Amino acid sequence: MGVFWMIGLSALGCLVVLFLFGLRNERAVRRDWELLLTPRGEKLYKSIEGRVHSEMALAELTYDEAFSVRELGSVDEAIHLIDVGYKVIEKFAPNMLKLLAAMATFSRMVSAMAPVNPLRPRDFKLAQIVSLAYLNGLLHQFLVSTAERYRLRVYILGRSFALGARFLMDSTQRIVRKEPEADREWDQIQAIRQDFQTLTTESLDSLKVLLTSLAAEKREDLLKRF
Amino acid sequence: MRYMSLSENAVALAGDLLILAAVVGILFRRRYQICQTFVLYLGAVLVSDLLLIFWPERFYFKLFWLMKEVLINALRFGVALELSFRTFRAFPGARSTARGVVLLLMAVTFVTVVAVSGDSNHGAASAPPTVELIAGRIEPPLLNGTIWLFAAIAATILWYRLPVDPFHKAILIGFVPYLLIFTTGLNILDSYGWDLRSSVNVVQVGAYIALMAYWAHAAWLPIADPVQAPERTRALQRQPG
Repeated sequence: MGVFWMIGLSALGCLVVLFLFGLRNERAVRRDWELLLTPRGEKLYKSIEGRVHSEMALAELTYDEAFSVRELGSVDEAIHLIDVGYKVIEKFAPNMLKLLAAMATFSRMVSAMAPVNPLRPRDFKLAQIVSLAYLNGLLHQFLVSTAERYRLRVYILGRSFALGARFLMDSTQRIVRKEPEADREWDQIQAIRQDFQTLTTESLDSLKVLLTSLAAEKREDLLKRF
Repeated sequence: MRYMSLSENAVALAGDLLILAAVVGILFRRRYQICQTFVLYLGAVLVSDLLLIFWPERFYFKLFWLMKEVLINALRFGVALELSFRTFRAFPGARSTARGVVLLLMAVTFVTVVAVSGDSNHGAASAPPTVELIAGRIEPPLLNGTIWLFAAIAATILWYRLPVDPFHKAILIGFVPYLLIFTTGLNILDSYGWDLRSSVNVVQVGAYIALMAYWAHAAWLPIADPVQAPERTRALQRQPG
């Protein structure tokens, strides 16, 4: 009879759990995990996103203008605009590095971090950043916790921004100094621009993951310190 | 020796066709990447069934049945552990809870099985284990432990509101009712005698066929699209063309 009692209790308990589990809307749960931003978190995200996008838009506008002017034959003006574009990125890159450093720090205060994917090498143009993306993919497999994977991703993003800014500076200086084979430097700048755009998008996605994880743990108090 | 009857063979073959459909569906939809032990489990059930159907004179004996049951029980436990690992690995808080629950349930199952087999051998220590002993006494607590394990995984997922793959959900939802029916049947046989075997068998086979049909259906379902943010979806809808 003891076994029958055990089975009866098992059956009752298990069927209740299964009933609730079966009723659960998986799409809604998944959406909650992906979009679980509290109003405060969303406000913060929108403010950072707006700032980052406007800085990137300013740099993009300047570079677009530089490339157009160059095509029209005004090389000196194009060089001037390239220099201006670099100055915008020169201010933008350290801000992104600060943001990424803050994200890495805040990720240590979250016990359950939402999963992240490694950077995709095919999304980048610059060979050195492509290599970093491959490294991200490789090391991602060796790390167990999502928090470690998140910090790795943020670290690789930071290194990529620094690398991109350095290459941009080198190319800009070569163009400004009117060194030979400047055409190659213009192509390089075009590639770095695209990589900066991708890095910015990936950084904002990482920020969203962090804010989502903070919201899931009800750690909104931390948002004030961001 | 009495082998399986024609109708029993037909029912077993129907079940095997459904398993085959599930395995092909899993391979076609590339779901094997998210449930490797489950594919092994289905493969083991399929192969052992086919051996019994087509070569009964070589495989329809007690030792083969025992070996089959041991393998399938081990793989079933493996499925539960893999589901648990894959579901909770990304969530440290839930993972530590799940780890504790899984270890506790495995320990309780082990103690129960040892206690039950000890009771059965009382006074007959040298007696060899029989099919009745394994099927009637040892298998029910083992299956019960597996049921608890699956239910505990489902409860932890519910408690932490974790996202779970729809196919993992189908495995969990399918296993528990089937194992409950199967365990209850074995206990009925142990308590009221093996004369009730044919009636119990009908219910168990019905549950088995329903389970395999459910899994075959779940295996062939298209992979769900990733969820998109509402604003992103609206933005896409605004795109001309």
